Amino acid sequence: MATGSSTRERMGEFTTLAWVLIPVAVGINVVGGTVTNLLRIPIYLDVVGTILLALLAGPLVAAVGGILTNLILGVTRSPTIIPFAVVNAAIALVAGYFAMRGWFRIREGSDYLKLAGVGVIVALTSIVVSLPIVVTLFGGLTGTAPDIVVGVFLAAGFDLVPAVLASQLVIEPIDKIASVVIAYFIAKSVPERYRPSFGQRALSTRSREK
Amino acid sequence: MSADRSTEIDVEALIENADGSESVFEYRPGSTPLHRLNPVTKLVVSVALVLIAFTLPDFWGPLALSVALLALVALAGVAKPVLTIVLAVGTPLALSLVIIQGLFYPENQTVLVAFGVPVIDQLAFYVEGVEFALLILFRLTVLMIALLGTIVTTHPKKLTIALMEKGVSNKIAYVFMAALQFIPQMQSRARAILDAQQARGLDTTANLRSRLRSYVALMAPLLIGTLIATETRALALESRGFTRKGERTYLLDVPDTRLDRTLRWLAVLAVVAVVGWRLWGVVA
Repeated sequence: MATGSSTRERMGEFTTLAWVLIPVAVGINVVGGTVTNLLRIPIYLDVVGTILLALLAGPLVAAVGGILTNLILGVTRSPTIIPFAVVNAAIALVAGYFAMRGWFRIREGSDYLKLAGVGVIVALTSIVVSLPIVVTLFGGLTGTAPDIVVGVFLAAGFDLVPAVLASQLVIEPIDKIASVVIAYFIAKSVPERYRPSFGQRALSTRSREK
Repeated sequence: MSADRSTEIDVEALIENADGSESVFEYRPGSTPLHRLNPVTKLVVSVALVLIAFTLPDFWGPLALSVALLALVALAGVAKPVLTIVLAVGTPLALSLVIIQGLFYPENQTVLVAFGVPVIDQLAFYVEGVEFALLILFRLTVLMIALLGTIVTTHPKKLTIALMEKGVSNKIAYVFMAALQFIPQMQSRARAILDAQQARGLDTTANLRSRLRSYVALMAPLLIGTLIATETRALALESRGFTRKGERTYLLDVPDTRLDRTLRWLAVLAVVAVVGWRLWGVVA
């Protein structure tokens, strides 16, 4: 990468603006869940803030935001959410990496496929990272709707791990593709002067800066 | 919020009354020994108990720990807020764990109870599945009671000060406090924006695609509004020496007594002992 910029710059820096953005992203993660309830949208959309932060300020800042989201939810909703901070951080790193590689620079209609691609990869990351947590800490069940799917697969004679995997394969890709697309549109609607430099590079549709 | 004219101001009481009640942290003021412990001690002991609960092999250990912790939070007078959350989160989890694992846990062998059920003939709960369900359940109960007990007996400001005194960066402390304050604010703003958009014809009962679009229509003004406020916030932080290095003094005093240090060491020793005991069992 002969951009002439340092690695630190490419990964996004912890400027005061970035520090101030972190609580905002945490807020969007948390409020996003409430808004999906108000609009009766049947998916979680609880990592939109993390992905948005990854787009605007880079993977490392977003990872801090992701971990903080689960800590805050852990103290305000239920401590059982805290272990999933790892998942949120992994999503931040993956989304931030693809933002660095320019997968969020949309110039023509077919470029939207890149967003779907990022969504699929984020969903896979989320499944792979959360699976061991769900299985070892929670015995495969979390007291939510997907438990029914786990039960059906267990009843059909499957082992615990494939049963949990199946329950997550149902909802994760849809949820994460929607989250990536929504994060992109929200990021695009942020006036350029409020975007950190990482976000300006990740979203710029002008000729490649290579 | 009127200014206190008397010369002797109890800073501590002022801060606790100023944002203790409306904080999303369900802090309950009090002066029990649990309240007076250093917040870091409470965190360390909680994490140690959680580690121990997840290392113990069957459900009796975590059950005993849960009962002991419950007695402790009851003594501190915070049993009600703790139990409210434990029951709200734990009940669906308990039902789904006991039912699904009791019926279908792959290692099920010994029948506990069996019912005659039409269509599928017989439904049996197995010992192995129920014991596994109880193990997971009581481990999570320890996690919940320990951390909730810490949270409801600790004022968030004292927690952040104690953490900063132990060397946690003031930036981390800031984002934690700011996020806690932001969430209720953003929640009410989101509601206001939703009302405003509905008045302009946003249809929350339309098909899924347009509802997803309204999600962006809601979140974008929320974000932009907050971003504009963040610029001011960044300036305010800078003017208070946010990025300055060096010794800081705090408005609140968070004591760290000998009892605190002893408890922290005991917690670490207990974890080492239990993990060692389990490893010994694996090797032998």
